[in-house]
Amino acid sequence: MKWFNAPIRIVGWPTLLLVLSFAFVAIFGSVVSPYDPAAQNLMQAMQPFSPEHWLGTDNLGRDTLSRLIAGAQTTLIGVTSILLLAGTVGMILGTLAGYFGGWLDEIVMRLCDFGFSVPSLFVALAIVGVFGPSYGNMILALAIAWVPIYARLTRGVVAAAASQPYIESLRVLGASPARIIFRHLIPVALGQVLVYASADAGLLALAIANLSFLGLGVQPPQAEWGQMLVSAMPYIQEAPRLVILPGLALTILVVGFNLLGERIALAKNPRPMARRKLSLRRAIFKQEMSA
Amino acid sequence: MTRSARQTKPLLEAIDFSVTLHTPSVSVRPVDRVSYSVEPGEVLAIVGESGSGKTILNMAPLDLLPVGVNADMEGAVRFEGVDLLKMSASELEAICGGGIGVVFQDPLSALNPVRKIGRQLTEGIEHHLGLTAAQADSRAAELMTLVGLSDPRSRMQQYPHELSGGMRQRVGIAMSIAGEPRLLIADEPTTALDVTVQAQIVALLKDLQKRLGMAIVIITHDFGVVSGLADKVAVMYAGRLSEIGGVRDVLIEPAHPYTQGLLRSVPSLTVPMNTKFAGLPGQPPNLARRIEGCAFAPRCAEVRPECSVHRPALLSVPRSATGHLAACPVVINHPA
Amino acid sequence: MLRITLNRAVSAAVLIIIASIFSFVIIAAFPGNVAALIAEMRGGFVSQEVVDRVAVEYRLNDPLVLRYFHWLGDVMQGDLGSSLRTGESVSTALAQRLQPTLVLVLGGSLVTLIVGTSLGLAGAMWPNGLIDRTIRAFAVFNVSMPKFFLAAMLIYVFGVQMQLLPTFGFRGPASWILPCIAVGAVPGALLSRLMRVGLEETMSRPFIITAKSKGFGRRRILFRDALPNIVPVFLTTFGMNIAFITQSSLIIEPIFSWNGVGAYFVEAARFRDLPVLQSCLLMFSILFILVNLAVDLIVMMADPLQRRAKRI
Repeated sequence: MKWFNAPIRIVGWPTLLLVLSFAFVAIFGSVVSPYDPAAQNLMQAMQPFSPEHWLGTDNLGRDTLSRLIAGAQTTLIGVTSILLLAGTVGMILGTLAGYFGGWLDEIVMRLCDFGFSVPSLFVALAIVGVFGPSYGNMILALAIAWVPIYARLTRGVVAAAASQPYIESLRVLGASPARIIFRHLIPVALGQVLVYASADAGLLALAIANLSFLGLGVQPPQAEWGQMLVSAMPYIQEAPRLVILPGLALTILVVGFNLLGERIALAKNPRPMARRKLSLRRAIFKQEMSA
Repeated sequence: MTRSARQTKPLLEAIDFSVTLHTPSVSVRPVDRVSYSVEPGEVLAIVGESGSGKTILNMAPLDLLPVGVNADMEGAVRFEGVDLLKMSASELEAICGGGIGVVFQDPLSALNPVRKIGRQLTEGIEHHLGLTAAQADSRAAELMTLVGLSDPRSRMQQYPHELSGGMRQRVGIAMSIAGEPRLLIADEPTTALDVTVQAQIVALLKDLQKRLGMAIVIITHDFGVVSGLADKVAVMYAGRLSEIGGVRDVLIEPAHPYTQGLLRSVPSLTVPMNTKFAGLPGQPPNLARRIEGCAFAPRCAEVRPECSVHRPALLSVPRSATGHLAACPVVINHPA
Repeated sequence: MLRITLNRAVSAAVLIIIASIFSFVIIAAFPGNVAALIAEMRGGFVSQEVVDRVAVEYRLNDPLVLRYFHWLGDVMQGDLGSSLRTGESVSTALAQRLQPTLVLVLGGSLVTLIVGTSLGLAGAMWPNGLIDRTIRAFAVFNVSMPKFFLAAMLIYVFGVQMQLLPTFGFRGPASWILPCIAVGAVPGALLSRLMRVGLEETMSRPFIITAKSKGFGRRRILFRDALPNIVPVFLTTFGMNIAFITQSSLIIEPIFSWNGVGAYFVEAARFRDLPVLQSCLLMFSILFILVNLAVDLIVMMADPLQRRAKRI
């Protein structure tokens, strides 16, 4: 179980458990889900919590728990695909810019500057507006909006690594650029990109929910938390749970992602000593001195 | 306090003073049962290798250690008869900057980078002397002239990074004497400076000491500073005092083998070119462990079996001036 | 200083050119026949003849580069085209809808400042105390909360349950409160975290020990010595947050039924109103680039270290 100990030590088991349980629900959602998330039953509409429907039903009689589970699936698949897309394209652009420099670097970095000065939701909204609202277009739009982050991150890492003596000597020894890039630079950049992506996942989950909330992302009948919340807004007075539950699910997921990212990023920094640890140290040192 | 009363008691007196530091990764004892005293108007130099605990010895009683370091202190450190270790936070705040001024090693990091020099000077004057802002301003200008800074009024409008290293340390010294202290603690005030500037700062400290009649504890590893400034020297090794005495006695006739080695390892320009550089062999001991007997025994050329049994006490060095003490049974019992 | 200012201004100008190209290209990348879409949105019978007439009217058959410069020329004269859906001039519509957005951004910034500084300072004054820990937990939760959920909860608690504040429309100061809180709470929490961490980091620097050696207490050192040191970082972060506060208008304006620029943009995206999308993206981009430039220059002037560095 050695492979399992390191993540627990870095992240802590509560955070790990939180994120893993969402992943579990997303992967095995269709198995654990009590009802079909899209099945309408107007006879059973607006049911409160009950043994049949643990979390009640919505205005169309769909089971809320099943829809929440389906929403987890939608969100996590979306986050993963966007991270893969944006990460891959960003790493390619960043590596080329960082390794070859020159006008290529200049162009990529100016585009990144633009991407950084305009908030991502504006860019994503414009892209979805042109291509039409759908799950696929939303993923595409968010991936485009997120590319600058990974391009700049990779470019920084690669440019720093490329000027290291061992890379210089590889070049002198006649290693091809492809070999240097794939064997030596990409592995360095990949580590950084993964650390950053762990912190970024929460923001992406929020972005997906934002677009879907505006009706520009996931389209009905596919379930998504932001969209569930917006369609429940008219009933907020009689059934606030329909608004609160999807919002809470999303918040908890993002809390998990944020804690994960923070812990991974801070893993190197020392933490301040707790009072209990200090008194323990005092006792140990006293023994050491009197021995 | 009358002058006669002050003379009967030392200004600063450490009695069996020990410090234990705890950080998340390690616990050490950088100061181990140290006793010394400083009379009013006297200059004491504390010398030792880096890591010998000389900075902790002086900063810990004033609660001036870096954040995140937990210091447990034992024994007593009396300033004008009152134990600093038993003081409340507010009593200590009245002593800091008022009775005791402090000069730090690196003048750049010791000055606040985003505040004007004038403000950093006057705040101490206002706080300790109870002057109005205008009075404090003119007092600050006087102090800056006193420490040898020209054009004080326009300098006060500048930020620390706009000055040279030597000028910054002059500002640091001006700040430390702003509250008219009876004791100045100077922690390696010349180490971070250019060699040419070092001599100027030593001269300035000496001049100030004469004019203001204050006592100085100067922490250094530079014997040039010691001979130029000090009345008395204390040599520290591994958190313990190994020798203390008048500056002439210790520098000319060092008693403790460690002091002798330290003096031998000072590079000199007067020896022939190809003379072998004399250093001290070995490493100082790990302060996280209990040290049996004399801490210097493993590196000592004159080590005897009894050295690693009991910790040697500070005793009078035979055939030397009174007040010249060394913690070495070999020298005391078997005078050469 | 002057050279740096010019330097920044030139790179901002380059960014604005990139923004114009991006705004143009994104519309030119429209999949399918733009002329047909426009003809369709105008309503009536769509024949090949009508489509061809639209294509000529919108210069859709010209080369792309020519179209770009033509569009740019129009924009510089203040002509942002007209909405496909309503036929309304985009510049007029933007001007009409500016006020709610302005209120939201300024009010949100105010909330951000108040929340950020008060919580950040409170946390630093009693480190690891009850307040500090509560604030930290609150900040983590708040940052993770989607803005529309926060807004929905504010509507539920203050509008539906307590009937205290209006939750619908842009009607006077009382109706501004909830939207501004919904917009400012998250950036405020972020800012308070930054301030707390920045102050703690500054309090461990050597010049704090110097201040202690002068006999000052922790609280005075915190305000007089540590606080001025984090002003540049604080201003930079706050400047960055202006963009995020403005971004929130996209979400918050529709929820509270405010007829602002953000809601206008969202509406355009829903109805594929290409000229409106293009103009909104361009205008917002220019706004952000200029705000960034202004923040950079202000921070430069507020930071004595930078002021000096630029002078050499």
